[in-house]
Amino acid sequence: MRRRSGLVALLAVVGPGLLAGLSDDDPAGITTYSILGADYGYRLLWVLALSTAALILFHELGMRMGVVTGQGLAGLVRERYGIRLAAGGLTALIVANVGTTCAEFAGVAAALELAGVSRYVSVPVAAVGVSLLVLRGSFRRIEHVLLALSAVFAAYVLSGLLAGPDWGAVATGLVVPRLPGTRDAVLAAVATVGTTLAPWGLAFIQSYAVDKRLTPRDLRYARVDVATGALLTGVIGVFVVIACAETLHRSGQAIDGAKDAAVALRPLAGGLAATLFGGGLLGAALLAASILPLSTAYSVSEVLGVEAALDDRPREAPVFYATYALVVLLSVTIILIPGAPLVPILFLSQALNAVLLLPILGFVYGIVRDRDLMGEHALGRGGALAALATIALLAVCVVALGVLSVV
Amino acid sequence: MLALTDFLGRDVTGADGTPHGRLEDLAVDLAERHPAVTALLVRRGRGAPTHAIPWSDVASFEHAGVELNRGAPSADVVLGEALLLRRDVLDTQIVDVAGRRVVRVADVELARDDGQLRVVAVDVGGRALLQRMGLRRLARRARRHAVDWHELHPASRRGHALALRAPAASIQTLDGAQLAELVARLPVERAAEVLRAVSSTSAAGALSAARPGLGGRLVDALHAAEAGPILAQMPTDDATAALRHLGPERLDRLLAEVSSERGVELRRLLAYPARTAGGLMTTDVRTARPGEPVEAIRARLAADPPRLEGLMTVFVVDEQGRVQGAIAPSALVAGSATPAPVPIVAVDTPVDEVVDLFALHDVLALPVVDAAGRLVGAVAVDDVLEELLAERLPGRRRRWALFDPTRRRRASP
Repeated sequence: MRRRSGLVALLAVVGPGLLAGLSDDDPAGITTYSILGADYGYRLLWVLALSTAALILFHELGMRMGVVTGQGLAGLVRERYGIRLAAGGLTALIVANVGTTCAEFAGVAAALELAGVSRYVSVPVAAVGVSLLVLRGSFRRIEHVLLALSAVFAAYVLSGLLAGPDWGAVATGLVVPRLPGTRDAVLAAVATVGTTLAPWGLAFIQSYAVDKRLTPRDLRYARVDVATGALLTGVIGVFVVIACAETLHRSGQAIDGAKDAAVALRPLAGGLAATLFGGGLLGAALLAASILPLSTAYSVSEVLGVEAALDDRPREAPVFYATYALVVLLSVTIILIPGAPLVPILFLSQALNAVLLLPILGFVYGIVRDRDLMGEHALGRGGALAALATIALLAVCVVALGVLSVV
Repeated sequence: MLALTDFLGRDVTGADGTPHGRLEDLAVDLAERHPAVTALLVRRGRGAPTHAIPWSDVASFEHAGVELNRGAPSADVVLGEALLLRRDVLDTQIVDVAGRRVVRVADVELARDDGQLRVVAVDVGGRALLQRMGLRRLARRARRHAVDWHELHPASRRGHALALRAPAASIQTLDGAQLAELVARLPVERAAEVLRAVSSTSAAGALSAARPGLGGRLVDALHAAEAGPILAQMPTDDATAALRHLGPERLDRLLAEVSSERGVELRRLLAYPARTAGGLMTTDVRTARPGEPVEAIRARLAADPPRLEGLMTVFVVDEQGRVQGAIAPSALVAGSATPAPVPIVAVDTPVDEVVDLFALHDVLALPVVDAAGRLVGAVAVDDVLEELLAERLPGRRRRWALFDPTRRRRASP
């Protein structure tokens, strides 16, 4: 096995990184990138570039922690920091996950409102449907349908190319950091970080690596997997921004609803833009809405130290199923509050992600630096500097956002 | 019963009342079944270095604080490779070997024993956890759940390494099936270390009982020289199942470590596709010639019993190796050597058809023949059960099986 041809070995390891990366292009991600492009053109593209770099860095760390310790992130936090701090970190993760689950159901609502379906019908039906499929183990039957639907977002690449972008401006936007000193601009930057490097994505990639029983020998290929998934997220994100910058930003239109966001697909799809956008939104939303509550339930079980999996009956794993149900119920309730604004929920939940990401990244840093836990795979000095720089930069953005919001 | 967390952070004072710091951790010696505390780790303040005070300096160890029997503690004990209860046990995962699960330690239970303080058990229940989180009211409703120290294996990096080297380690007393449960719950590398630490017979038992996929990963994680003696002791069908997923070069190196006879046999079995009678069968078969007296057959069976009970069935073959019938164990017991007709399967028969045959006929094993009709092996009902219940064999349950395209589909009805 050690000498398997590279491709075979890669295929055996591939999955966690790619899947986690792809799931980052959920409705919340697409909406956030759309707003970034529509409101600021190419000016904030560098935030996306940096976020992608941070995504590669931290997803690699997540993968590494899973491979070396055989444990999920939440469980490791308890092992390293004790129950009280772990409970704090877990609370942050739960809040972030409920926020993002709200965003996913907002995606369902927005997608089907394009087709004239009321959210009071679409959201409860989607919640019950997804839960039944996941909990009864028949998710596999529709999983590729959802993956294919969300792959529609690759259409942004074509749409962006067809729009004939100003490549010079794109390149400048990617490398020259400019940030208008307004609250909205900082908010857009923070939300971009929060949706690209989402707390749940970190927990997910680690637990998936544990699940695949990867060993340190697989790390080399796992890194390729992580980098590919993360880069794919970044590239799709950049093209979402390009497509929006060339259409919405050019005409000075802001995104108030899903209908506006769909305009960015017009260069490709013309009159079908709304249908294409709605289909992609729905697929990606359902996919993410099935992972998020489950990932949260695993994290809670890990911290409490009880093994649980979908094979268990509710009586055997009450904490697991209660968490799942609570996350879904809470999210659906929030979306169904009359007049709840969908696009702001999609967008602001991601800014919330970024804020709650801070303590979680701190925990990750402490764990990967710990030789007792990581042995020879502990993070070296160079990587530590990069991780600290990322955390510091995010902290500055979050503080700036706080200051600008108060003033 | 004393709880570790009730003592952590307590003041440590000398006999004359001088403060020496707070209790940070307890070091224990794993040489015994219930390890005794050998030293206290004490820290004067945040950032200050910790001192290891020998247990012999302790006059009293109470909730109110720890008092030494002298003014200043003796020189620091060299801890070396001691297990530290807070760092290596508290909040880490343990494999509850008897309960067959992985749980996290909420507290460590200690008991006084003739001047010593010993680790008796770990508490993995909700009560200890809620208490530590400060939720006393809720804690009162939750349960205490203790796992005896002797019935667990620490899964933390250091705890695991130390437990493997300890003479009184629980792993040395486990049988094959229990070991399989243990290794299924540890990360692959640590599981391989467990297999190295036990006898090759126990390791072979564990690998035979584990899911084939897991067995393969474990064999792959071992060095060829370590895997050889283990493979030599596994039934051929289980060995084949474990070897099936390995690359050709790795396989060559592993098979170089077993006897050439067995190597040839395993290679021949590996040539049959996985989900066929050939891929499932074992060559550990007992045969008899037509008309052979029952005493002779019984004596041969007694002298060289097959590894699997199901294969006590004796197949009667003619000189060309063609199957004439089967003598069931019940017939042998009754003293009859009359062969009864038995369904015969070809090496390339799909597993599903083999399953159907077992369902239709009341037999424990089916003879498997090659293209020329010669007996080459047998499939026992046990092998078919493993195939049907693969998901229930020891192997960690998977969370994200949702997305795994390689996951085996359950046979549709």
